[in-house]
Amino acid sequence: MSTQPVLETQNVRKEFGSLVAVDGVSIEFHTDEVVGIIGPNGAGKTTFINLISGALPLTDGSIVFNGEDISTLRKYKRVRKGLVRSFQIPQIYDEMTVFENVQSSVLSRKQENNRLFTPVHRDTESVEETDRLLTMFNLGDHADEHTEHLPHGVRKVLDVAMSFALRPEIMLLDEPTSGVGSREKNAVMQTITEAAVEQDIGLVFIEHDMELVRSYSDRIVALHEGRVLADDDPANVMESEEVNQFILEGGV
Amino acid sequence: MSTRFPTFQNVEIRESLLNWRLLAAVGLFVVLALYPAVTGNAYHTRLLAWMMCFAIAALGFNIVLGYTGLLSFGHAAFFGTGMYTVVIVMNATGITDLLVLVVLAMIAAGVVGAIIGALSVKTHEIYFALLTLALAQLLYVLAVRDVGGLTRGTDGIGVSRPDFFGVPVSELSATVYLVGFYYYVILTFLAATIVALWFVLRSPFGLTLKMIRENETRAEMTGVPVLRYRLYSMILSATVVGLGGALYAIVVGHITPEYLDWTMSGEIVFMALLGGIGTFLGPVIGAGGFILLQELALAYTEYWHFTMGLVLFVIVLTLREKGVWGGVKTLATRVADRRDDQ
Repeated sequence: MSTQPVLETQNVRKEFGSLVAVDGVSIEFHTDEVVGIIGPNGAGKTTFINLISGALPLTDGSIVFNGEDISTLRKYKRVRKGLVRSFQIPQIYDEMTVFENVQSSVLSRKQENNRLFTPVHRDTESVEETDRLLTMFNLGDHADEHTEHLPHGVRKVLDVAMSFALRPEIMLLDEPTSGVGSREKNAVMQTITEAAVEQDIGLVFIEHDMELVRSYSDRIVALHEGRVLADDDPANVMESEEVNQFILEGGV
Repeated sequence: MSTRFPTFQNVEIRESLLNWRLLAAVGLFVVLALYPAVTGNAYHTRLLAWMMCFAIAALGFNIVLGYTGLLSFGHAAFFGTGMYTVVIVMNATGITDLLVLVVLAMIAAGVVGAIIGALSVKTHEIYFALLTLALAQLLYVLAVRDVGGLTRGTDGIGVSRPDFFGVPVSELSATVYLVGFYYYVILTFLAATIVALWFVLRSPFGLTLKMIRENETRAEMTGVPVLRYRLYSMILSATVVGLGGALYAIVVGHITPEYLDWTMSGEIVFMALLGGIGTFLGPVIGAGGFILLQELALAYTEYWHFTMGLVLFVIVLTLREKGVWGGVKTLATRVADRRDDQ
């Protein structure tokens, strides 16, 4: 494992009124690992990701990305630095085709949003890259379809593909397989982790399916009531007494 | 729909379709160009000139509503600014060149767009509509009160005819000026606006505006500074609407504050809805349809507001955001599909 973490949260804290959702979490993330985050409902998993991506402001603590404090940086600037997230409910563009959805991410990554007068479908570079991504995520068959009527599983994969198009250093996935049929879950995770390894992207994913977490994580972080209960190898975490007591037996 | 991307297999079909559409567009412009010369009908020419000015304004308005997804009720501010800039600059500085006046009017409208945009782009939906409405009404009140002695209040200001590159066309009689010269200036500007916006809205910039319309959260999480692009779209939109206003000022010849009023904003919204905000050319059809409908309704009934309301009601209910133009396109596709099946 690389020694210098790409992303580091230092004593991160979030309060909603009197409720403490995230209570001093310090975790390091690297580009060459897949980290699974587990915890019962209300443990602060999604809030934690919202804090890192900038969707919510911190109450206390700091977030360091590549040695730089990004705690108060605007959302879109974090994305441009290489810190990208996907969503539990797919956030995609309904009235656009699958192709356009992915191409828009490619163009935004290259920060070409200001280019005028070149029709997007004539921009060979981004068209080719988009085609490659569609093939990689098995979305080629849907390329010309508008996304609003696509099955949920496909929308979910598209959401992830759009995040990959941004070529991040680290990617946060909020339940990448929620709503995906149980038989396809493994295929989806397989695609995501393979793509991440190939492109040297650090993955952090929230997941309720313990089988998936066990199979695909290099490290597991267990959260409970906003605190880190365990942060270790999958085997150690799964055997930990506290984790068993609060999470595994709690029937997530 | 036109937003589809061509796939590599049917590039040729796509190209020929594009050519077919291009031919139809060129044909329409040829007809428009010949109409005054062939018929010599000054009333119709004036009506067409009027339609084309509003077609430009509606196209500009649709950048904000159809592409960025913001409903502005303050676009009269940009239209009126374009109109007033022409006459105020002409009277204050003695500049009489048409192109200089039009460019200055566009810049002025763009500046007003930047100010109103900066104050309103942070809000959403109904709040955005209300805020743009309120800010535009401020401008209306300033014009009515004749603040600074610029607008002469509700009396309005007469516009004299500008020259063209030092050629004293203004010495022509009003009718000859319109039919023989000014009509073609408007037609050229309309064609230029359509071509320029066609490319701009198909570029990565246009795609970025659509991203914001479709899903702001995702756009931001793709690294797009959403507020900045909303502001850009407001400025671009205001500039184009200002162009429409500047050209229209010379057609009407007399400018009153009512062109800054919210009813004017409402008419622009109406035109876009009528033609179809989900389409590129819809607003052009909408502007033409609106003015034609208004003329017809006025000729046959004094309840023309009621007639217009009824038409919009039926169109929005049956065709929704596609409007008349989108409806025609859908129909054409269906007919073509049926022919393919047989």
